Amino acid sequence: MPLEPGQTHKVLDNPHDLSRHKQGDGPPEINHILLERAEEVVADFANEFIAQADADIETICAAFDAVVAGEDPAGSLNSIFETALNLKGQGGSFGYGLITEVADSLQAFTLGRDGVDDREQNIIRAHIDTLRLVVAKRMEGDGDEEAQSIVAGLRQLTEGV
Amino acid sequence: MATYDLTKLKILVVDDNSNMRSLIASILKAFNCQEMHESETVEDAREILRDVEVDVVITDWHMLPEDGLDLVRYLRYDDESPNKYIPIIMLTGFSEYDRVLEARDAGVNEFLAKPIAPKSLYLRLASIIDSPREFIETETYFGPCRRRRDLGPPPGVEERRASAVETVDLDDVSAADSA
Repeated sequence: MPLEPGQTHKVLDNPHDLSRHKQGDGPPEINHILLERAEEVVADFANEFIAQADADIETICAAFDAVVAGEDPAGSLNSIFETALNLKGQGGSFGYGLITEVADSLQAFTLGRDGVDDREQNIIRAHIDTLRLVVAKRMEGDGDEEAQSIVAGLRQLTEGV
Repeated sequence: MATYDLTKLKILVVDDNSNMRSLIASILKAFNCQEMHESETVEDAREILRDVEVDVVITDWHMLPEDGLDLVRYLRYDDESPNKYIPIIMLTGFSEYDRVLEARDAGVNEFLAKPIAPKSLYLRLASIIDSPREFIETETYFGPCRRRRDLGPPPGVEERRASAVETVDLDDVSAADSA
C-alpha cells in the first residue's frame, strides 16, 4: 500500500517467522561441535582450492599477455579483475590469507580500467609474480614478515595510480 | 540458552563460482542443514524461488549477466517476488564501505565479506532466526530496518529519517567475527 500524504515511512511487521528453528530462550549458544565440523570441511577444500588457484593464475597471465599485446585491453583487464576477485574471496576461506591479500590488491587495481601504461603493467606483473610464488610454495596463512612486506610493497605501488 | 536447529531451514545459495557454492553448501551441511538449493545465476535463482518456499537466501554480489543486487531488488521490489520479506545474506568479495552501504540500501539483511569464516555465517543465520528485523517502507526503500541500534533521531530532528546514515553498523564489514 502506498504511503499516506505526509507520511515519510511505514514500519511493517515481518511475517517471515523462522522461530521454529530456534530452541530455548536466552542468549544464543554457539554450537562448537558444528563449528569444528565446519572448520574441518573448509580444511578439506583447501587442496582443491590450490589446484584451482593455479588455473586462475594461468587465466590471469593469459589475460595479461593480451593486455600487453593490446588485444581488447578493457576486456582483458576485466578478466584479470574478475579472476582476482574470485581468488580474493576464496583464499582466506581455505587458509591462504596471503592469496586473498595479493588478489585483493590486484582486483582493486584493475577494477574499471580500460587500459594500462607501462608502469601500470609492471604493477600488474608484480602482483602476478607474487601470486605465482605464493601458490607455488603453498604459503599458507598470512605469510611471514618477508611476505607481509611484499604485500605492503604491492599496496604502496598501487597507491595513487 | 537458545540453540538453533538448522535441519529444516531451506537455504538457497547463489554464486557463479562452483568452488564457492560447494564450500558454502558443505559448511551449511556441517551445520546440519539438509534442505539446500544452489544456483549459478540470478535467473536460475528466480526459478528455484518460484518452486520452493525458501527460508533464507545467501547470494554472491558479482555475477553475470545479473548480479546479486539485481536478485535483492527482484525479491524486495518486483511484483512477482515470491516473498518480499525473505532474509538475504550477501556474501561477497567486495568489502569496501560504500559497497556495504549499497547492499544495505538495496535491502539485504546481512553482509558478509569473503573470505568466509564458518563462525561468521553461523552467527548471521542465528541472528536472522533470533532477531527478525521489522521492515521499513519509504518512497525509495523497502527492506529490513537499516538501524541495528536505537540511536533515536539526530539532534534537532524529531522524526525518523529514511537515510539512516548515522546508524550504519560496520560490524557487517568484518569477514570474521573473532574467528
